[in-house]
Amino acid sequence: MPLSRRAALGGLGALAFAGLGHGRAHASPDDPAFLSAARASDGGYRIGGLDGALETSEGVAAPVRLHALSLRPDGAEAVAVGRRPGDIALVLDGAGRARRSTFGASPGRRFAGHGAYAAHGRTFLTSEINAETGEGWIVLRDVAGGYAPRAEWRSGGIGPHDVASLGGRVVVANGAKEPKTDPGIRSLGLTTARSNVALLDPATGAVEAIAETEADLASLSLRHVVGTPDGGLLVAAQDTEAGARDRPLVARLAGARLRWLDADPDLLARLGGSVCSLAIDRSGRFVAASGPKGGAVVAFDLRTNDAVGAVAIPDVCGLASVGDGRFVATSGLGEVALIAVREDGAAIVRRRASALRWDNHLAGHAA
Amino acid sequence: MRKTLMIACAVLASGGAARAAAPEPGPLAISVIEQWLLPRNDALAEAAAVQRDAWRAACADGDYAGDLAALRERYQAAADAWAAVEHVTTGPVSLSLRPDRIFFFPDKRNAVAKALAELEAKAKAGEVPDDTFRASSVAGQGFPALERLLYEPPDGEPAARCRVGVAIAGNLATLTGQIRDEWRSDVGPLAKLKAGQGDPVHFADPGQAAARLLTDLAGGIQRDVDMKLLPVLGANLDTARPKAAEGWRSNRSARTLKASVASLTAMAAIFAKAAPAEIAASDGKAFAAAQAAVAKLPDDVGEAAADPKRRKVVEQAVAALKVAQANIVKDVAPAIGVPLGFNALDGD
Repeated sequence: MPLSRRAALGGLGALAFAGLGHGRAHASPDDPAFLSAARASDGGYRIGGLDGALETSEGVAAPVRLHALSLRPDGAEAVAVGRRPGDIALVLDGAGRARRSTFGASPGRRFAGHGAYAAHGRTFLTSEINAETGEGWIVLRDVAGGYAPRAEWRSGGIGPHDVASLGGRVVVANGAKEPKTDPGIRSLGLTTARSNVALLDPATGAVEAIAETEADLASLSLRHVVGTPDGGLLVAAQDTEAGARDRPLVARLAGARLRWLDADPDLLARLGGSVCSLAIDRSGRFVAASGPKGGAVVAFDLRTNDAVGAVAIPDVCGLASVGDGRFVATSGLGEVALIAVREDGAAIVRRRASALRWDNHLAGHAA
Repeated sequence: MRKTLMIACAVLASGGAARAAAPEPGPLAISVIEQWLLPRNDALAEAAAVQRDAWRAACADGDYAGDLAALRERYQAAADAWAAVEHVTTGPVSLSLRPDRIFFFPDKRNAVAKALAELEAKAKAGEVPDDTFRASSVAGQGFPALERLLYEPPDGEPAARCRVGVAIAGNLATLTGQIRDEWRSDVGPLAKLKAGQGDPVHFADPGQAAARLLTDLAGGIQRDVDMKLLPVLGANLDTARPKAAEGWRSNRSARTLKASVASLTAMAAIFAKAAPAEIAASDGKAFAAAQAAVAKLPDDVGEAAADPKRRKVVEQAVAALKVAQANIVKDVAPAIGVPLGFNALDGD
């Protein structure tokens, strides 16, 4: 089994590298295709860009450590939310080279590091956590009005992390747990609440469905969501039990249930018990999950719901699709890797070192 | 990249008069590999080869019961050698699930016992072919499975258990020999590094090699804390889990930590040598304190964690290891201009 996968890598490695396209109508060809929070060689926080040839460019400096970026659908603006527990978010131009304004979390609440454009870029959603109780909120902000809050909804759980507008719904990963020690949110370290994924009505915020982790997976914290081209939803988890790496970490949402991709345990263990980012390829068949603790990206085939292979990339987190069976991954050691995935294996087909060290998520338009 | 690193060096150098210029990352990585890693890889491959030969000899008569003491001794020596390098994720060890095949841990779903039972069933009919063995669960391919054959009450056919033991010991010798040889190969990652190049599989350039090895060092301390001590301690005395300790069957729970921390200390010293003297001195102190704290751990670390009178010793080892890790992350890494990863360490 490991050997047949290995044998497959030779074939994959020989695949020619296809250039990455730009998906944006309004962006200039010189603009980066992907944006991420990063750290420069002097240790300062900064926006980093990656172009279609995986060339790195330095964007604007940031006053605080950022987490996830969101690109407005027209490509002309982006938001970078402060890392959890954060208090400010930066509004940037679409290339991440200029800072236009900032906005803050609601009183008494902290940002979770994630946000999402909705309503064709007219609304921006932020996931926010009541620092005292851990209760989750989704705050709707008016993009044209300087990202001022217009409404707020319950997130459907405790300690929300990722929020997305997918398939006509607002999707929230309510993490419930505190997976980091310092400086986390204290109330999340104390709660026994289960983690869930909540689907909210985009017009009213009414909870349409909540899919909660089962009793035997209660140590999991659901933290990131992505949508498949056919309207499906996938969620990724981190195991808050130290050293645990044998629980499933990627699930498909089926109504109010989580259907775990119960993959080959040997490959699953490569993730080290924690998924940092998920990405689905252009074809919608393959999903890549990055595991910084395990130092690997594991690829899954959604036709079989099994893992097809893993590649080693220490401190990896950022992931994005760059075509059919193609992903780009970024790491905290400054590595940028192009990964090819097939039904019989995964391989790194190109890797580059960059002066920027990539901090968590990679944002771009779906390729 | 080289240009960028030189700029980074210049920035660091101008940061203060006391701060020496950062070392070139390529030579630093080469020092760590040649002075620290290769000798330990050699020792591991040698210990595993000795263990393989001992199993073959012991099983010549189809039953190893009479050679248990000698085989246990070989096991302990080989497991010590693995503990010295188990935190390394850089280089040939990262291929083909080698770390899991050598030492599957933690084992929360009893995967080792299941895999071992499957292997024993296959071995009843005769030798387990190499292909069959390699395609079996990784949990049954390495040290933890061998530990059960050596330290749990014998159960099953002696001849089948012998065949499995020989296969596992042979597999360990093969894997550790491959790691040793691939590092030393003329076209291996070290040769690339010495030519000032990156390696398509292991690191994009020499700067990455130094960064990955330093991250392995910081991650190694974290690994000892997160995987070997905190799960045993639990949140409090009532939730302590003695059986979560690594190697409790073979009485290795403390011994493996001592071997690991001694090796981490030696690795840290090579990086620290590239830092200004005062930083190197504080690094030496932090690691000496961690070694002293770990030296106080009783053999039954797991039981101690659940004992109100002895729990403190385990907690003190955690605290001392965290200080040593902070020393690497906060002092040594910036002083030598080598970036550390953070996605793995910081959470989201």
